[in-house]
Amino acid sequence: MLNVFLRFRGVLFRLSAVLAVLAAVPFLAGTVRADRGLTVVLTACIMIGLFALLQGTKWLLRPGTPMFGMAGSVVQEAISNHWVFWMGAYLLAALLGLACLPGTTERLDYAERFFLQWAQLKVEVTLGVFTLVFAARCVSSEYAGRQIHTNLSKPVSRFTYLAGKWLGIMLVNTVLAVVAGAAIYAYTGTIEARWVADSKLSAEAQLADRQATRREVLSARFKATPGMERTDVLSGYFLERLETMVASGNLDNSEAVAAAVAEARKAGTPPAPETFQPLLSKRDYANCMELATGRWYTLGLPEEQATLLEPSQVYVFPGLFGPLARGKAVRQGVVVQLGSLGLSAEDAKDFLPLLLLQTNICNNPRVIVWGKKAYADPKMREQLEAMRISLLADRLQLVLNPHAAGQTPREGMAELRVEVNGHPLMPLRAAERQAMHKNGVRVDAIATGSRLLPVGQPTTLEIPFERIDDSGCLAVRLTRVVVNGQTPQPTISFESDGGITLYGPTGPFALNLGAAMSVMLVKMGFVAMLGLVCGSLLSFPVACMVAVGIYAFAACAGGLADAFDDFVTLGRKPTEGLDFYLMWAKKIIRICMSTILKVSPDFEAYDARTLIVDGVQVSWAMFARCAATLGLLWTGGVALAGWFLFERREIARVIV
Amino acid sequence: MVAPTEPAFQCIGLSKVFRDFWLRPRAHAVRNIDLTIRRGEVFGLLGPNGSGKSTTIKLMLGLLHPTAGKIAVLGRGPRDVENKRRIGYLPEESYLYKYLTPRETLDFYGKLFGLSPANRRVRTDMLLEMVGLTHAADRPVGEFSKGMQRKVGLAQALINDPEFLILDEPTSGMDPIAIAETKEVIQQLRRHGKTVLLCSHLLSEVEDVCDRVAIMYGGKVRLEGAMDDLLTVRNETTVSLPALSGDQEAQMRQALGAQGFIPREVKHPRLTLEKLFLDVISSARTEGLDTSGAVAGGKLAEFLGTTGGLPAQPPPAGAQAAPLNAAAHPEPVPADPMLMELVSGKPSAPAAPQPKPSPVEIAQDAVLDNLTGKAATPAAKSVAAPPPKPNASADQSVLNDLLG
Repeated sequence: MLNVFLRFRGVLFRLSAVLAVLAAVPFLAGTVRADRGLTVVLTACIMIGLFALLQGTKWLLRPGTPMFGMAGSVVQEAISNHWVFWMGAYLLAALLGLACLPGTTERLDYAERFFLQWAQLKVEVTLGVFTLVFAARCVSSEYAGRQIHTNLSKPVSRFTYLAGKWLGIMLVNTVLAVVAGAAIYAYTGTIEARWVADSKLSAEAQLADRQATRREVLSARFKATPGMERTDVLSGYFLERLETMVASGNLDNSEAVAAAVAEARKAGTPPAPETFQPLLSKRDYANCMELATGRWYTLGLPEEQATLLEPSQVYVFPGLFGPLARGKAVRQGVVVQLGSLGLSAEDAKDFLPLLLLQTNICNNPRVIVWGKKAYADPKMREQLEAMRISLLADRLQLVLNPHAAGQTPREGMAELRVEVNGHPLMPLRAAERQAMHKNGVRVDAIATGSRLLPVGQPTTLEIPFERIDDSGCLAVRLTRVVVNGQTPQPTISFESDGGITLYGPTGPFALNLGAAMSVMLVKMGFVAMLGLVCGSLLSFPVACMVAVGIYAFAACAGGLADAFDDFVTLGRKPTEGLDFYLMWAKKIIRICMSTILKVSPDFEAYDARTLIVDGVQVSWAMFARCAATLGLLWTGGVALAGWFLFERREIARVIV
Repeated sequence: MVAPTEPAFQCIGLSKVFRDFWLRPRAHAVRNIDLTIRRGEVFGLLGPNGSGKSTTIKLMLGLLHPTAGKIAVLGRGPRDVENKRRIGYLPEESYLYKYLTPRETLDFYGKLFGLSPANRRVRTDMLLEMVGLTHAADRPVGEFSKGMQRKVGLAQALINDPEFLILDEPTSGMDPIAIAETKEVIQQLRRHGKTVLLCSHLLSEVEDVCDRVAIMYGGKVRLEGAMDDLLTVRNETTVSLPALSGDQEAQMRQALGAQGFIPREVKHPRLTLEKLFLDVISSARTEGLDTSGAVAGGKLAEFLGTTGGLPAQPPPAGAQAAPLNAAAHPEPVPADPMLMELVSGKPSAPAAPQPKPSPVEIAQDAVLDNLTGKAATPAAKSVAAPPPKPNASADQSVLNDLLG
């Protein structure tokens, strides 16, 4: 029996690989979500997929070229020594463990965010270390085992040798990244299945939370920060803030600035803030600009005008042509469907607000008659509900994260009026809220004319695409509401970074995860080349140490830069004694490290992980920047430097 | 095909000094050597350990950079990548990937030479058959004995059908059969016009296959020349006769003494251990005993000699189309009755009739008849070398003592 199995194991393996791929197709297409039982099957499928991908990689490398030959030897080494299988199994086990960590009492979006955050970190660090050690070992072991003598006695240039090894490592990495990506995607479904099974929420609340999670986490969304309605607003705020600072005498160059401010006042129109930049120190300019911008993000009471704060501000999101076109297309599709149910195009346009429950007023008698008849028919009613859901499926999400400058009258809730393109969103009646519940739309996400927003927590307000005007612009006016009979609300403000953000769907989660994995692979490309070059010039332990050091430096470049910026400025400045010399030593260290950091690769600049966690699209522009900087510039630079040194290195050692 | 005129390898004033981290001279591996290897010859590079042989080879392949001197391999520089398509190299140890099987190993090296998948498959099969590893083609090389690894190494050196084959200790770790097969491969490659550089400690194998040799010591070439010129002892002659009885030997000594020839030594020749071993293994294979080790190799892979090298030379009579294991047993099984009895443990069959002597042998027998005064047996053979002048006065008394 065993002999029969061993004899036909190749055929059995290929058959199971094909079956695994076939089984994974509906899952990858998003038509099947993983429940607990399916998770086990999918994990097995992914593992078999790993085998299939490796065989496919070997098949790709069949053509007889030296570079493919060298790459093939790396792939074969990873397969024959079972490294790639162990690494794949380890990643799957670790990711599955992470998926089981979040408790089912948590909110679903929190559990998914937690998993995505740690899973990506786990994969990136694990693959980074694996790549680095594998690459360093790849060449240094050939020196030790002297296979390099035989290899370089063949028609293989040293550049081809290095490039082939790099290609092989990257192919192995790609296979592992695909496996890890598929596992992450699969296990997001597992988390949802666990949560649904164990959650004590009502079915409607569960459905609402699941849909919100899919829209806000398991999706790809664009992210936009607001601009000002008029460009001269900021200039005015800047000028006023400058006047205040001149009056208080807090500026380094008060007289010259005062003269410039006076001249600007005479001119009438406030000049752009950059006009004052030459007169101000770097610190003063940044300070003034921050205060001016902060004012724009702050809502005060009318009686607080003296403090330069206004109760209402307009935040503009321009260039939303994509969502506009998408909304029009969806609406057009619904109009066509309504046409097939007997409603003319003109009447269908009047019927859409009714369908969306945005209003219950209609002046078109034909539409009213048709609507009554349609809703009376259960079959047609079902079709209309499906249309309504399709219209509501794609919505913009305005995330507001307000801060209050004191105790709010409504127990930590700030009350604001939200208007979109001049139209306050009408509050929903109880019956409509119930209808919304039943149809799977989260009530919290429906923007109303006046809303209570929790202070210090982000709140999502969903805005239909049809609110975008024809120029692709969405102007959101936020007004602090004066609550009658209540204690006045304190000043409400938003952070300039993330206080007011607009999101909109752009694509599926799977593609977004794929883009994030692609960005990670570009980083791995640099790590692989770094390991190879170190391994070709140094012995294995030394090569590993050097490469790990550089990798860690690149991975923490952003944090290190901030740390070194604060390295000297912290604490009082000594003028004599040992501390004085220490301060100078620190300054020199800071200058050196800052210089090195400026010219070193920065992985944090291309952090796709946080984007995935927020359900934000990993744009191709980001991938292109990452590929150009880390891929071409850094990987290419390291490759050229390594090749230059490797070309001149003697391969053999003293044998006399 | 017109043979290229430039030598396969030439170096002038070649030196290599290894330096330490501080660039101080650490070892003078090669000192100002001039060496030329002609196309189509088998050249032996000899020397004790540390004499600079392997360093010279690595300089030849561009794995080391010369401190001084010029090198040309097949008319081009040693680091010319394209030129390496015409070179095959077997290093002093089998530096193979332990996790690859022989088939994968040959496929890998075939890829490095840009061979198509189909071509690689054909050549791999031929080479595995040639080195007798077809049955072990799918086992990892790491599981192999050293000799089997050397066979894989030899096969990889031939995957590109090289014009110039560099073999560094090719038979190291091999059993006598494999050594004999390897020697036969080298000889067949020479017949196909290939140039072979053989670097070995086993002087007998160099002696058997090389046309010319160079002997290195201390990084210098101490002696270089054609094998025959260097090894033929001109002042001595060996005569081989069938077994003589005591009387016949006495008569022979008397007859030789009468002519003024005094034999220095008269004894029965010993069978070499190599021949005995080869016959034992040959017998075992004839009986079809199973082994997981290497088996007898086949004939030289057909693709070898189809490209590159000098035009194929006609082989010596009787050597053409012989299987690789023919060296181990030139005839199917030499009918040495005593040997067969020893090997099989059974009484031997009556000796086969001896072949008819050639005219040269008849002429030699006539000379012997004259010497001994009786008719020689038909199987008598001799080494046809001019007899040296006898040192009669010195050996006459000894001969007299012997003959009583």
